[in-house]
Amino acid sequence: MPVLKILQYPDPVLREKSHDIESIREEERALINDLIDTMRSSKGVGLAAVQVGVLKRIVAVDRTPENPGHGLIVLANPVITESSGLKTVREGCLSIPQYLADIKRKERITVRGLDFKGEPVAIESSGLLSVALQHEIDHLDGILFIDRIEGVRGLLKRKVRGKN
Amino acid sequence: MKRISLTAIGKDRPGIVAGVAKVLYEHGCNIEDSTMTILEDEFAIILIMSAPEEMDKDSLEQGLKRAGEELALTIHTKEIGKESPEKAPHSTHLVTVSGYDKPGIVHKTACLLAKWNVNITDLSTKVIHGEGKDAYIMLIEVFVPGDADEKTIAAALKTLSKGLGVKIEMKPVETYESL
Repeated sequence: MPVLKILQYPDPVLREKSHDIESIREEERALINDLIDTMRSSKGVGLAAVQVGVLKRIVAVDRTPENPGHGLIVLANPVITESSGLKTVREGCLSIPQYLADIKRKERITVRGLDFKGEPVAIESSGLLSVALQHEIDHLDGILFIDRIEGVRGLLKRKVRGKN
Repeated sequence: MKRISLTAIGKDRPGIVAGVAKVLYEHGCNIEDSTMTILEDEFAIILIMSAPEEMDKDSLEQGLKRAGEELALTIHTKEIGKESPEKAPHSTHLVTVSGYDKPGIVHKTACLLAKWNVNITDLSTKVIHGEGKDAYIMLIEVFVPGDADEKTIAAALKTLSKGLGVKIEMKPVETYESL
């Protein structure tokens, strides 16, 4: 299965809104497999379909990229139905790899959507999973983490990959 | 492209950024990495810009000199070499120093960090004027090398904090990369 090219900011497609899918058919299954392969090849924690140029509301998150598969979650049409708490986190994005940003995220969220088989699921999350899901769901609405910066010092240069 | 650094500082007033940026724009310079901020009642600019190879450096300097006179700024520019391929490290920890103000807080804290090869990436200090003594707050973002012994550094900071009579805390910055 092919590893796809991850769109890089300021590619205008990253600003597009993605559309709900009707069901998980062969086409969506193939896309999901490509998303997982692409996410793994870039050692990513999460990837939204729009980041590979497909405007479908599908996200993949893997909490344990060093141990692929154990923390893997795929969600279609994800909707945050409950949230509580706020915390400041420092995030990076595979589509803006040179920078990190300090932004606020909800501490705990419940997300509802369809799983890989098209079955409805609800996922309660906190920590990395919660942050990653919020980040990927933002992508589906054309929102990037740089839109959520609140202070002038909120954007930081990121280290070069592989150096310490 | 040439790479030029510029620093400017002078009494704060509206129009400083506009005045300096106008000269840079007229000479085809592109402001890249920059910080412009108020320090007490002075406004400070530090920036790195790129400029076309054929840019007339004398004309740029004359333009900046005029703007500096109009705006009462001390301006300094310097051509710097190509950007090193090894980019600046990002911060991994935040060090917070707080307590009564006294000479040597910055010096002694920075010496300790340097000794452990901990790189300061961003630093900000503020004095809170109190009725009796002034309070001092210093925020330092640092890059702790991967092979550094965090516990030893934390212990050394604790010893220093007792010596200076200030509170020093170092905590990792929670970072979620590659989303």
